[in-house]
Amino acid sequence: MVPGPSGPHRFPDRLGRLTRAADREGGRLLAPQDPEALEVWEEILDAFPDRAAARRFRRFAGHRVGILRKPRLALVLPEHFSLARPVHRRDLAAALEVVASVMDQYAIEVVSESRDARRLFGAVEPFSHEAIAGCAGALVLLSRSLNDEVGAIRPSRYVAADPCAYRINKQRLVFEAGRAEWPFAPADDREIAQACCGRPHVFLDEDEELPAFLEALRRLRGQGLPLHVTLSSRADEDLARRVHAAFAEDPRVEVRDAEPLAFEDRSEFQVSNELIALLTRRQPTRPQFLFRRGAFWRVEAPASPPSRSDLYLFRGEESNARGLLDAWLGRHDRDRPRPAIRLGGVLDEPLVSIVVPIYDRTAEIVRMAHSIYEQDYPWIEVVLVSNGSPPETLEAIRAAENFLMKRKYRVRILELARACGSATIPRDVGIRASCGDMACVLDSDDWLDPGYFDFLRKGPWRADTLYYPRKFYRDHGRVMHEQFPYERTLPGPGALENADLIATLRRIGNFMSNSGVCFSRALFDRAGGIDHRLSYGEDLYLWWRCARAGARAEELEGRVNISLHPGNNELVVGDNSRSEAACELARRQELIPWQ
Amino acid sequence: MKRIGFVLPGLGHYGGINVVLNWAAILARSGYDVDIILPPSAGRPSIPFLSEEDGCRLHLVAEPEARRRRYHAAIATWWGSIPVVADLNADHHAWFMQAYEGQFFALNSPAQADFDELVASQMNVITIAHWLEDHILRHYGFEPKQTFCVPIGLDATLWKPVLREPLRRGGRGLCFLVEGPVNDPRKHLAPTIRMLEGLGLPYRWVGARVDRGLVGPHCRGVEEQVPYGRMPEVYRSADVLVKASSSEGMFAPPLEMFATGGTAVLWDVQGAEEYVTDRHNAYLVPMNSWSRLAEAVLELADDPERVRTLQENARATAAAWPTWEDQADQIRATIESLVPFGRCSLVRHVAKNQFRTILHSEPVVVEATRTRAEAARADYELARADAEAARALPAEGRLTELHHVKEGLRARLEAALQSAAEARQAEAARAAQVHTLAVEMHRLKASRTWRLAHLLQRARKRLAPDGSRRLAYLVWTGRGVWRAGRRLKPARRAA
Repeated sequence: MVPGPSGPHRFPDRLGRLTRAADREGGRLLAPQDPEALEVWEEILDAFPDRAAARRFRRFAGHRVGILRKPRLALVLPEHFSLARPVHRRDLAAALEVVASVMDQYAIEVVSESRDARRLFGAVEPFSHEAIAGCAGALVLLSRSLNDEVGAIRPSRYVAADPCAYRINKQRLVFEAGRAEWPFAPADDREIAQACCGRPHVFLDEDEELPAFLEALRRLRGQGLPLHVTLSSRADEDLARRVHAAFAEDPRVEVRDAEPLAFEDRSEFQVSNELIALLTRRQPTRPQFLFRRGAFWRVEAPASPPSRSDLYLFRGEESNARGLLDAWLGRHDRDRPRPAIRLGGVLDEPLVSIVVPIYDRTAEIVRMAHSIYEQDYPWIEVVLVSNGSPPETLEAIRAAENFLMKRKYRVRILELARACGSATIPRDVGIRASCGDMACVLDSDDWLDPGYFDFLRKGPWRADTLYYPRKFYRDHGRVMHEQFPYERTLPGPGALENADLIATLRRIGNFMSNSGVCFSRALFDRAGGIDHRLSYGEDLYLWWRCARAGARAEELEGRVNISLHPGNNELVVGDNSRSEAACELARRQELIPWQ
Repeated sequence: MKRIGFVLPGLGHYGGINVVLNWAAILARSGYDVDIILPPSAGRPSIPFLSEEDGCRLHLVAEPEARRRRYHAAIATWWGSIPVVADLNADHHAWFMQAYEGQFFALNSPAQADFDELVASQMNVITIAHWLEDHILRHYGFEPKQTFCVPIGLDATLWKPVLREPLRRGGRGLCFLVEGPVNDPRKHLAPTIRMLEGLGLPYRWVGARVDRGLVGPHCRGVEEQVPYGRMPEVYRSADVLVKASSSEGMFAPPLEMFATGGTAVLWDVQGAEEYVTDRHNAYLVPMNSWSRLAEAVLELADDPERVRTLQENARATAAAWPTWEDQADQIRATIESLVPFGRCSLVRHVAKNQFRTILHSEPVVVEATRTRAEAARADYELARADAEAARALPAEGRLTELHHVKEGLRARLEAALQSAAEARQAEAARAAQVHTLAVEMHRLKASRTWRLAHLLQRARKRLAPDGSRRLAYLVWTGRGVWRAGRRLKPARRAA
């Protein structure tokens, strides 16, 4: 309501009753007029990978804008929070980036006993049961035990910067639910020694239980196991010093910093105090052990696996306020049995979320947006996921957003700060962020024919069906073999019941391709979403798992135009050359626990 | 005394007009001389929404009269009034933006192009919602703009908490309220009513225009064109407002419902986030999703305790919301902070729209020319055939053949003459239109806007000759010639 000083506004703060009311309600989030604190703030905000989040934070933190009486969310900092520790500042930046997404709806209340927190924030509440109970939810930094304590009062999340940020570009934020059920079985030192024959790879992260973990590692070392310790990406000099000191003068312990290629060398970690480090394994049969709550736990496929959204966020998901709050405040109602409401006519037509991952495209985005604009079907939501795109692409995305808004579609843009290598992660993040009953995946360089969604109007749609389109390959310059069926409508194998779908996927591979396939969100969730380990063939693997979850397939009358141009390397129907990893995963499907 | 002019299309009973009139009343009470500038066709209507005392402070002025006055600030209240503002003698020009008006037009209509052109101008923009301010900076910020955001105030004398019978499990049933005119497709009134009927939930409907044929047995009452002062009474008769609107700026009805102690189920439309927090003071469900809306409505109907919690939080939200009196300082500060951008950019964009309208008449003229040329060519060929027939040997077969050729050519001539006559008629109609446009052009040329544009153009030619534009013009002309040639080719071949 009162404009910020950094924006284009120049007129003074609103006077009178409102300012006083705002001050009474908690005043400003930032500490006023402390040059040292302001310097730290500049550093923290500069560390935001998402510049839009930094702008949002500045706007809402400087003054109280928007609704005056907002529900509150607590930002809980432990007593040992220190501005001198880089890892603490990094985690705080990650938490504030999460907070920036919801500041238009929620007021942030800082709860802490730390002196440094008082230097940084304008108003800090001392930690108490009442302070937490007055909030709708809480974010907790640097302490999982505190997270559990807070979680007993209100829904809470432990948030930290990605400990595995060195792994190519797959950046995540730790976002662990407080008081989560622990699905793993305990393990003792002997079991670990037997399982980790040779030299176990240990991943070590900053944690309040670090002294206990180092002690446990010393015990393992005492059993004659040489250790190969890799430090987390969050590690600062202080952590490194402590670890080196713990294993000083022991030549059989190698300590190294996290290196960019550590993920590629396939030396998977077997022991860690951080769950994310153990998640992306390629050999599910290899035993792994997590140190948590003062003991080791054997990480294997549990009967009721923890949901991914209970553990971490992928970059981009923190900017989707609705999904974020749903996960954070325990509003995930996807598994809840929903009443089957049939009211007839338009009221039975589902909301379709068209999810488009985008990287480095301009004119193609305009063409794609135009094809969505030309659809007759009115119940559409468009989710554009920028995969670390260059500025001209972001400009084209903005233009598309403005254009599609005129059609009265809700358009949402998720900006991943850095490119993820392939469209796998952006597509998954986009589908998970979508609100529709049905998702339609579309590549940014492809486009739909008019009337594509007519099938939703002709009769009831089925939640257990993969609707795939007919394809029309457009020759835009990519060199293909001579008889390549350019400029021809290519029909698929028609309607396939569940058993036939599995058989057909085995026989001819990915006949559905990727662009234009529509499926219900419930089916997507049941299948477990897109597997992030794959750069290619992730769609084939998803269809496979959908089939395992009971899906059938149906061919649409609508047509998707697939542009094959020199900058495009997507797989066409019948080309399964880059799908080995997906096929391998599918073969071991029974063995893959969860991801 | 500083004079402020608000350009309005009329004084109907619309929420947007209410907001503008409240601004005008606050400025008038603060000592500004405020003109409400109306088109000549509007006459002298009475001023709605305001008290008689506030109404007397405002001056209703017709556009021609406004052109003779000098303003401290001239403010357009919708995009269509930006050309009027561009022609007013004012130190500051502003656009009062209450909604993303680009969503109001029919799909693919030329008004979209006009809107985008005008909105791109360099000017002050006053919005009433933060998302609108962001939207302007994000999509139309390529020419410098100064944006302000002053959220609307709530009329605290009118919108107060009212007593309702408390909700409890096993008590009275929940009553829903549907608000809006039936003829506005953005509000989806008919499907909303069908949904409530289908779910078997009681509801009331209030709107500027209603269709009693739509409602069914669960409807507890329909009210049409209720005076603004009586609206709280209508809101009191229901507990939860249901709104499935797909295009809003900063809608007031949910806030007004909050003020009376009710809550709402809404589509997550732009502007909702200004004061609605999902599951805190209302339910926000994904926009364009009927299934989610129905689920949320059913959930509330089954859970009166939850409704009561939502209503308490909603009442607190409305109590903390500023009244118009609270907003007075910010409104005055905004008017005093307007930047004197000058009119150059406004004039440039208004002129572009005008020129585009004129240039669109060209294709008909080209068509008429083409048809005339075709008729002339057919006439020429007929004459040639006649001459050949005269020179021909009197062989019967040859004569018959030539006779057929002649008949064929005569038919073609007649057809060509007929289409030429039609083209002439179209051309005459177009000429009348062009004449009208020419008259408008003449008026435009007589205006200060034109003179300024002319001066600007001369200055630009002298100071900043723009090669790329010249090239674009040449390409455009060449394309026109090529197209004309292409159109003529089949006729020549046929001949």
